[in-house]
Amino acid sequence: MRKLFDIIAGNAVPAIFIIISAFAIPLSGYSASYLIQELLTRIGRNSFLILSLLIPIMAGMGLNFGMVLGAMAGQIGLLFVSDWGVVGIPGMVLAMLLGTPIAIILGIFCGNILNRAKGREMVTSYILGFFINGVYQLFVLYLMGWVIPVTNPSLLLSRGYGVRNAVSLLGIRGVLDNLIPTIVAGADRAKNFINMQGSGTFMALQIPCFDGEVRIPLATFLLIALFCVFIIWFRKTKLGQDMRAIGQDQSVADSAGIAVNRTRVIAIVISTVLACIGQVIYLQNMGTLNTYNSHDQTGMFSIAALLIGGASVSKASITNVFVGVILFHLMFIVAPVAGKNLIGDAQIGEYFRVFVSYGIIAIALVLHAWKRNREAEASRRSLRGNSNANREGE
Amino acid sequence: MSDINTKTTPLLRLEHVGKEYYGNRVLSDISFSLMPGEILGLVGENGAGKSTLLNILFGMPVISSTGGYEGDIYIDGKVANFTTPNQALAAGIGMVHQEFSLIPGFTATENILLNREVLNGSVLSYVFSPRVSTLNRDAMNQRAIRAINTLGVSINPDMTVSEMPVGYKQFIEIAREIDRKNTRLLFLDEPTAVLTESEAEILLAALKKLARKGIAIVFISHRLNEIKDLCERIIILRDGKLITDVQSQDISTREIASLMVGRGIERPRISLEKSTDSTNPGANPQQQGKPKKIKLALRIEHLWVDMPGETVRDVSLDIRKGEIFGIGGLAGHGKLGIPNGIMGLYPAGGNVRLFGKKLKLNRPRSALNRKMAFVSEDRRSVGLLLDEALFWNVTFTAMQVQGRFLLGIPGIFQIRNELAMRKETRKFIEALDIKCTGTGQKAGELSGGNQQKLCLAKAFALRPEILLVCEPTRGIDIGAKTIVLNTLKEYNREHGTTIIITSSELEELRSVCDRVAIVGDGKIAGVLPATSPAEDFGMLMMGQKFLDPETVYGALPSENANANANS
Amino acid sequence: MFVRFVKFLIRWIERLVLLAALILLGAWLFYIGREHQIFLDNRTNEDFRALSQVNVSINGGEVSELTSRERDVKKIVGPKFTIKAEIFDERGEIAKTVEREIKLCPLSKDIMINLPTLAAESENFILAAPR
Repeated sequence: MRKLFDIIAGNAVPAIFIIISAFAIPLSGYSASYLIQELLTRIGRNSFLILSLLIPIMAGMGLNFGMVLGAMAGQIGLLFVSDWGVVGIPGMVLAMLLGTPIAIILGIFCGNILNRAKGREMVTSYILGFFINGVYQLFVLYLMGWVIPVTNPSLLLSRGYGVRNAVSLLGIRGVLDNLIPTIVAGADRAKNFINMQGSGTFMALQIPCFDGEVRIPLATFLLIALFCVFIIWFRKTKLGQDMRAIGQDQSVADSAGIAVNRTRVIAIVISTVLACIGQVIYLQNMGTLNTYNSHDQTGMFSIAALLIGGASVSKASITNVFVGVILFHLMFIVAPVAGKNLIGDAQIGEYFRVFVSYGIIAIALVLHAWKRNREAEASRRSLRGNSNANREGE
Repeated sequence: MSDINTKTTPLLRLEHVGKEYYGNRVLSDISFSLMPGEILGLVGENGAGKSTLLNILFGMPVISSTGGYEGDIYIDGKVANFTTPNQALAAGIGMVHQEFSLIPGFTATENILLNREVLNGSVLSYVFSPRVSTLNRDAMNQRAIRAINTLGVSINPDMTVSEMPVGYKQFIEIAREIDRKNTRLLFLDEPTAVLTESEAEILLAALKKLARKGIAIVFISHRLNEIKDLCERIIILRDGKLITDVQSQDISTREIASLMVGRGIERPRISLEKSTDSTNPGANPQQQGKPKKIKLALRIEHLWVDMPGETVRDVSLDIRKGEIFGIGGLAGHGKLGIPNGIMGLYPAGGNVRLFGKKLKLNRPRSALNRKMAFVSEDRRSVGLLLDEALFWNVTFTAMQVQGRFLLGIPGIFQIRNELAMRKETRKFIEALDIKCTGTGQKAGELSGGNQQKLCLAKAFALRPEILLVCEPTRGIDIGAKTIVLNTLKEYNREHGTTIIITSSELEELRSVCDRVAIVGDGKIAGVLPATSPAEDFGMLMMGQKFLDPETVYGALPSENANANANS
Repeated sequence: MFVRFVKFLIRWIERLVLLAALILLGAWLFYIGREHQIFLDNRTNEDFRALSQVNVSINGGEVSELTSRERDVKKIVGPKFTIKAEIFDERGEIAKTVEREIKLCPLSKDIMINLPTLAAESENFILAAPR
């Protein structure tokens, strides 16, 4: 009986989402090809960011709300690239290259602070995100254009210094996604597509009787697959093993001679750098950079998606990432229209989205604390004698 | 017998090693030596200095940060002074602690080779850091299997530690120490405490095997039969001094027990009035000559308590009305768990009957309502409200539970009766000689001994029928000790209160109580009259059982049994 | 001890080399990825008269037809490009075709090409871009 309860409790969250989606999809009236297209786009856009959360969880540091620091680093890289006018793939890679050292510095800072707040990492990283947001805004609103040379007038505010909110990323829009154009469509559309391509690699998959068309960001997916391989490899290294040990019992790891503090900082640095790269990928798909807003919900939505995929504060796998991104974004796509058709208010989709994100994180944190207590109690229970009165109280 | 390498230089030698913590001497003039391949048993009560000795030998920072130690330690004839555990490890000393130091989610192999894994070198590791290399799991498994085989046990190296039975975990701990290439000396601190008998046997066989390979072993245990079986030499510590260092075959178990608990001349005697009072129905019935009807104050059956560090597994006791009952035993075996569990401070289960009526467990209020009072061993956090005045502390519980010291209409409007509160407090201040500036002084400002007296006053204010006192004289000076113990005896005599005292000081219990139970491994090892010789208690602590079942369980066949049926 | 120090030093030198390689990579990306604007100007300057009509295409792209005094702007990515100018005479026929391959200095973002100067195959046709 207990086992069944445990299974349900362990997978309750994804199950709830599947049920909600099952109701909402027909209500929304979207076609299958539209849904699939939207989902594939969003998977490509968001997976990298969510994958960056895995390593701190492995090291026992909980959900890294500090990934927003990496996002800000990536955005600074993008601002410079925009200013200098570097476009295409070189532009995107250069943005990542510029953002990485900033992300490393911010990661070291964040890691050291989290080391002083052991056991309270999540709250601390959440608040740290706000603090660094303030520093970022100082940098972008005052220093850029004044101390830091920015020549492109389209980037600056009318007063002459400080960056505008809406920055066009037309130069790198879709460069990774469309690097290897891929389409899955019926015969006619496929032929049109092939004709439109010039030289260069592309892929087309013909499916008979398929009315719509689905474009797949193949290069992005390849990059994500590469990252997954990296994570699998990382788990097999000594560094990964050390992090797993620290994640389970810090004092045992420490007495075995593992450099606990240093390893924890490394975990956060890796996560921050990957969040930086992930944010660049995200923005190249969006095509526009909201200098002051784009990174706001990065942490929240990525963490919510991971938790929806069945991960917990102490345990997360690659499967959780992809299940989570599909379920979370499926609900994103479908809920606004379903809400409008059901109740007549399109805003309900937006409320729902925010409500669900915060709600799921709250549930995950409570479940995590509750499970921890139960485990501790169960382990103590095993030390008791084999008396008949093995129930609490009477 | 082990194959002792005929070297003349001892592997380990201690000369006049001592330690004091800010004026409190815990270890003095310890000298002994150890040859490779020798197995030495270290015996002593808690507080005798065993843990301190281990801390010194293993370089624990708590020693160097409190002024270091006196005397000299020689490893292979050369002076050694460890200030960190890593130095001791480098010198070839391994320590297996009582609390497991294992990563629960890792396999046996991963734990044995924790932070000493076998790596596959690569270009990346050269450029960045060796930690980027992947683990060579095959080589790791081989090493783990080799270590496990050295112990002579069979454990699947891929088994996760959290799924292992407790005995296996102990083996993995030891395997980890012997996997280190240069381990030559192994300390084991109560390794059999959590093992079943068969597991303990396997462990002892494994240790003998290790000794034959030349590893010297220091084995700390309170189980006499294991010590006699395993160790060639035995060292007994008491009150920080080395009492004896003998060959195991030259000493009997009874002698060991007696030396462990016996008292030296230096110990000041606590002078108490002996209870020869025949009106005390709880006193040893033998003294009375004719059988009397015995009323049971408390009947405990199969009690378990989940108190971290003092787990109680299965305790059954009968406590007679009006008697002073003592509960003793080594630390960590559960003696503190019994009163804490009965009073509902920790999760507990089982059957407890108070004067024949069942007591609701896990609810302190129930126990208090049934006129039981409790003086906790932790007076600062559980016993007192340190920021409140004395008169508050003394009367607060009585006010809450019994509604005393209140003026007005119950249920509608009541206010404190400060006058009555202060009067009661003054009564106790006088009776117990509590040194304070007045009833209004904050409890936190009193000295340790006076705080303890305050806790007693609070319990007495409840006019309890049963009083449970934990460690009544811990940390207080001799003069205060005497007053506290005398107060308890007086209270018992005047009011007939049943008192249950839990203490780690055997002498105290023997001088105050009528009967004393010894707790071992979460169960009752035996119950003896207080007048029994000290070494009998020592034997119980060391796991030796008496043949008389009634003495072992201390329970009466029925509530109104014939008194002479007892030993 | 000495050997250890040398190994330590070599590790650090290798890391610096790696870092330098990354910086060079960044610089190269900047070089090949920068987008430049080419301003085409068909205006009389000191030495040459404006052309009556000229068709200009850059990198084989879209052709801009410019009569005299007209201007246009084209974007290119990367430092090198070819410009092909077909110059028409009064009768409407192609009098001359000039094709040049131009390499930009990476620090200059935008440039302006004066077409008459280009047509006369003189050298100073590259001017700074208008602000």
